[in-house]
Amino acid sequence: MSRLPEPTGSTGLPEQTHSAGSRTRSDQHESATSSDRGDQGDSPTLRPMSYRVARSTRSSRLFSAALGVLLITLISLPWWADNGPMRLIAEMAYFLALAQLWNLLAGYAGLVSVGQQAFVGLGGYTLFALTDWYGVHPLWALALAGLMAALVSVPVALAVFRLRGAYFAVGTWVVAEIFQLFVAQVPRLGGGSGYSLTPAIVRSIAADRGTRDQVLYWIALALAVAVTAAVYAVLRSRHGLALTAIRDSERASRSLGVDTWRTKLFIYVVTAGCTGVIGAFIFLLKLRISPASGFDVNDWTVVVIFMVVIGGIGTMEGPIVGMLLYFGLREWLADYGSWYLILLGAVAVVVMLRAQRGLWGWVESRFGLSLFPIRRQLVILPGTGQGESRE
Amino acid sequence: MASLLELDGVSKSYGALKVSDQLTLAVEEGVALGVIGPNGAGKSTMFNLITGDVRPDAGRVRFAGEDVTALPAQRRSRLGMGRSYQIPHPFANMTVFENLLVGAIFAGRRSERSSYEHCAQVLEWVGLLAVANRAAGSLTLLQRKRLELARALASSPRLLLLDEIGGGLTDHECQALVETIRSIHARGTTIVWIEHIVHALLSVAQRLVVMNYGQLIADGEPHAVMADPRVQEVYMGIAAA
Repeated sequence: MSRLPEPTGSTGLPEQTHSAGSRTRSDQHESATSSDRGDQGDSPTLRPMSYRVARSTRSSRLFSAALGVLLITLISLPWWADNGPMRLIAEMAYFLALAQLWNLLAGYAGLVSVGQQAFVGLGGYTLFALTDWYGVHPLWALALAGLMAALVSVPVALAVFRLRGAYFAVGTWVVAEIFQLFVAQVPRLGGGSGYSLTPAIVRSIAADRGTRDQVLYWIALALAVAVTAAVYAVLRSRHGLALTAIRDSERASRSLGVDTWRTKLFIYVVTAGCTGVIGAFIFLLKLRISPASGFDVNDWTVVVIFMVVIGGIGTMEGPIVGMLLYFGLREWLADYGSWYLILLGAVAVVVMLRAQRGLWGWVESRFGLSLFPIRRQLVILPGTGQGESRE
Repeated sequence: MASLLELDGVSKSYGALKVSDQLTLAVEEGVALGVIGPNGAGKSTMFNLITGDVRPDAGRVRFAGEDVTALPAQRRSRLGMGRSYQIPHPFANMTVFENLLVGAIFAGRRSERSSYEHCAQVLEWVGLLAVANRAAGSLTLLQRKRLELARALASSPRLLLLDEIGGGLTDHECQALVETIRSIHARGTTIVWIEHIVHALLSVAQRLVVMNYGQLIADGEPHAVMADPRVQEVYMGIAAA
C-alpha cells in the first residue's frame, strides 16, 4: 500500500514544472475492500475492490515537461537576447498573472469584479509611499504592497459581498473609482498629477541599468510562475472542490457543509493581495504612477477580462491562450493605429459567437485536452469490484 | 429513545401565507418517518426550516440535543444532517465521484485521503460506481436521484431528509431506490422522507405524519394514519391508490 502525499499546496508547482515521469501522481489505495460492509443485504455482487485516484493525464505530463523547457529558456533569456524581447516578455508575464487571478475570482468563485484596478493602483501607490517615505527596499515593498491590498480587501469585501451579479460588478468598479478620487486628494502622493520614483530608489534595486532590467525581468517571470502555481494549487486543493461546487449550486454546496461566504472571502482576499503585488511591480517597472494610470479600468481590468474570456474562462489554460492571443494581435497590428482596437473587438465578437467557452473551452470539448488537470479520476484496478452498474 | 430532531412551535410566513404554522414535531433516533400532504402543504418548507435553508419567524429547531435555530445550513450539515432536493442539484461540472467528495470532506469532516475510500464505497453501494468519472451534468434522472442520495450519504449523516426522491421515476426504478433507502435505514440512519408515491413510502416508514396548510393534521402508525377520515378527505382518493 503506497500512500503518497496529499495533492494539495506543495505539489502544484513541481507537478507543473518538472515532475513529468515522477511518481507523485496519484493517491493509491490498494485493496480498499468493501467486504467490511458485508452487513448490507441489498448488493450481493460486491467483491473486494481496489482503486486509486489519478490526478494527472498523459497530455498534462508531456505539457509539464515542455513547460519546464520553456521556463529554462525564458530564465536564460537575459544572457542571449537584448532588451526588447525582455521587456515584452515581462509585460506578458505580469498580464498572465493578472489574468490568472481574475479567472480564479470570476471563473471559479463567480465573483465577476470589474474593480481589480483598485488593488493594482493600491499596490503601486503602497510601493511608492513605502520606498519614498520610509526608505523600504523596493523588493520588500512589493511584498508589503500585497499585504496592504489583502488587508484593505477585507472591509471592501464586507461591503461589495452584499451585492449580487451585475450589482457586484458595478460595486467593485465604484470602489476602484473611490480609491482613485481619494489618492488624487493626497498631495504627498502627487495629487492628481502623479508621482515618480527617485533615482536613488531605482538604483537600490541594482546599480547599473542592465542588471536592473535583468532583475526586474526575473521578478516578472517569478510572479507569473508563482501566481499560476498558486492558482493551480488552490484549484487542486479542497478549496478548489468547494469553489467548483459553489459555482454549480450554491444551495447544494451549503447543504453539504461548504461555507460559501468564507470560501469566496478567502479567494477575494488572496486575489486582492496577489493583484497588489503585481500592481506594485508594474509601477516599479514604469517608475511613475498617477491616479489615472494606477486605477485604469481599461489597462488593468478590461484587457484582462478580454484575455480570460477569449481564452476560456473557468480553465487554467484559458488565461494563457488569451494572453498570447492578445499580445500576438497587439504586436501584429501595432502599425495600424486604431484598426488594432477594431480588430480586437471583432475577434472578441467572433469568439463569443462561435465558442462561448472561449478558445480553450472549444479545444477542451473537441479534443478532451487538459494541461492543468484538477479533476480527480477514480480508477478501479482491473479484476476487482463490480465491473458495471447494477441498473 | 431520545429525540434526534425536535421542532418546537416553528412558524414561517410569506406575507399573508402561513407555510409553517406552529409546527411541533419530535423524531426519535433510528426511526423512518414518512411525510405526506397535498402540494403546497408546507412539506418542503419544513425541510428547509430543519436544514437552515430558511429561517423561521418563530419557534426553535433542536438537533442532536443542540439548539440549531440560529445556525446556517452548512453548520447544521456538519452536525449530521443530510438532505436530497426535490429537483436534483448536482454539481454539473464535477465528476460524480467529486460530487461525493464535497459531502465527505466538508459536511463529513473527513480528510481528503480518507474520503476517497469512503466515497468509492458509497458509490458502489448506491450503484453509481460505473459512472464515477462522468460529469454529473450528463446523468439520467434516475442517476441524478441516486447521486442526491449518495452525496448526502457521503457526509455520513445521522439524519437523512429525502424530498420526493421517487418522483418522476418508473415503478421499477422507484423500487430499486426504495431498496437502497431501506438498507440505509437498516444501518441506523434516521430518515425523514417526503413522498407522493405512498406505497413506496409505506414500505419503509414506521411512522407517518400528514401535513396540510403548514400544520400536522395526523401523526402515528402509517396504516392507522392512512385510515383516518381527515387524511382520506385531504387526499380525496390519492390515498386509496
